[in-house]
Amino acid sequence: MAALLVNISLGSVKIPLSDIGHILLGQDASKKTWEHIIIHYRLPKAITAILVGFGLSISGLLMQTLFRNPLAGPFVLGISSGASLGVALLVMGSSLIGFSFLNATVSLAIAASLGSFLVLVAILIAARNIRDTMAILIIGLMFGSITAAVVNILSFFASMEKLQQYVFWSLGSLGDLSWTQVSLFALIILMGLLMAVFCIKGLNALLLGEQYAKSMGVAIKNIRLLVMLATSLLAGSITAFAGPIAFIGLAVPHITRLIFKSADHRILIPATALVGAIIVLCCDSIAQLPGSELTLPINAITSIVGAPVVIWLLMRKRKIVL
Amino acid sequence: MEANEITMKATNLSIGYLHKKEKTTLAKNINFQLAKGNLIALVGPNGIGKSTLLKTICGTLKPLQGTINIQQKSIHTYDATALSKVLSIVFTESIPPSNLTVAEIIALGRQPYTNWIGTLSTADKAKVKEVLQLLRLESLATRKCTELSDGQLQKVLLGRALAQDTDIIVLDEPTTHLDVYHKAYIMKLLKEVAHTTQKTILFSTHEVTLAIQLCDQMMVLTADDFVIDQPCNLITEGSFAKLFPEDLIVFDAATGSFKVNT
Repeated sequence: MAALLVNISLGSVKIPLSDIGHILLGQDASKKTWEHIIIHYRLPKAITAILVGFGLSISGLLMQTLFRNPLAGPFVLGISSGASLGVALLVMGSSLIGFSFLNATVSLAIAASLGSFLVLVAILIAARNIRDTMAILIIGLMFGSITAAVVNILSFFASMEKLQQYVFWSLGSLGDLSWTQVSLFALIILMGLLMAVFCIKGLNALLLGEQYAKSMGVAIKNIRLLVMLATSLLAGSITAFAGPIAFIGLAVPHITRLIFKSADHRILIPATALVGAIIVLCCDSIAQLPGSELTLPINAITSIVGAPVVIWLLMRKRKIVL
Repeated sequence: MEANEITMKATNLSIGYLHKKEKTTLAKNINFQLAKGNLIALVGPNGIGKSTLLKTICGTLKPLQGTINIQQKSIHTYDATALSKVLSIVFTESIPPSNLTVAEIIALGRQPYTNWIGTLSTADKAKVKEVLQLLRLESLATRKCTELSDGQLQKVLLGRALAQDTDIIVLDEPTTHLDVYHKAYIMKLLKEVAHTTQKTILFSTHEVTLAIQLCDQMMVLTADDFVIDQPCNLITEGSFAKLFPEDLIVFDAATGSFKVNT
């Protein structure tokens, strides 16, 4: 809540906290423009930040448990890259083949989700015949480079305007979403979270490995499919609406495990979602650069916060647990 | 053996792999009956098909021929949940490192009985407590699994299988990474558990000498033969002598152990 308030109060226009309270409670503020800024700009952005936090951190948790690898995450496994490719094809590719889409947001979401789902399926097919989980991670990184290469080729041929559109998207942005888009986004994220909740029992069994889970009657194939669907919905829609936001998916589950000292997904799922939302809100608050009129791209801030966490995790590798 | 004492029965079993319609038979004509409250060891040289036999018994692999019955019903008529209530497994591979505590790992064994989100009922909690007491693990209950020694971890994994409350427990080389003291300790514990809980416990091992002293029955799997009997009978029949080529080690019937050929 505090993180939410801080987030809303920060921005290029200074608005006193008391007025923010009034506006949020539905009362009149001292200036009409403030009300407009809060309701139509900062509140949807804060909600987007919360949704991004929920979705990315949960999909990271799901991936880490499914692959039983502490370094798994939507970003490392190339799922975000898949989403990027989907968006790049849509934004830059559509001009090449010469047709455009009517509803940009929905088609972006579909393209990104499809892209991430395809990459995830490809990785899982590869994973079926590979026992070594490190190999799966490397395959994920390879998919990342392939998609990056395809994006490069696309951008080489794309018009300046389209290229700029894609570059801005790739920097990540939590703002610029209308209430309609936020509602649609929230709906998709909720669906993904609901799927994750239904995986809880199976995920707990998977902590002992697939063999044990199977021997306890867990329908591995169903759980795997559900986790895949949930992850591609979450990571895919987030990448579509807010751009490819790095590190949250990888770092937050570890931070949560350190704080809550648990492996039980009945605790980890809500806890990870909460920590994820707080961290993204904080990152966004930092991105506002309090006291200045500049706003930094969110992707830069999450990486600056997230990369040291990953480095720190690698340095104490012996203690990495699921 | 009386019919109601028998938990598992294999008839005319052939085991092996079916790969691209090419059959690799590892062993055939396997027949056995396993009874309640018995500890049974499966011994055989490396690569002879011990793991394949265990996987077939557990329903993970389909037999090339023959049938396996659990409680007079074919193993393939059980669905995954039903099977997990009559047969539990302890694998050789260690579990991935996690924040799970000893009590939580054992409680995971209750999964076949818990609801959609895995809430433990009073009965489930009582079962976990019972297992902790039986294996003398109470003092370790809140310890994380990453902080355990290999011997303790093996006990905890056995505890998880016990919490699953099945008539049959199958363990794939449960003593592999342990020193000789803990090998004997785990095997003795298995015997104690089999006798007190009246479960059928089957495990594969390379510790022939220890198994001879502690098991009710032993299965000896060699390239061209499968026998099951009480260890003393197997010694007199010379079954252990056939386990390995005699150029290097020979079985000494008097001590029940292998001696280097000098």
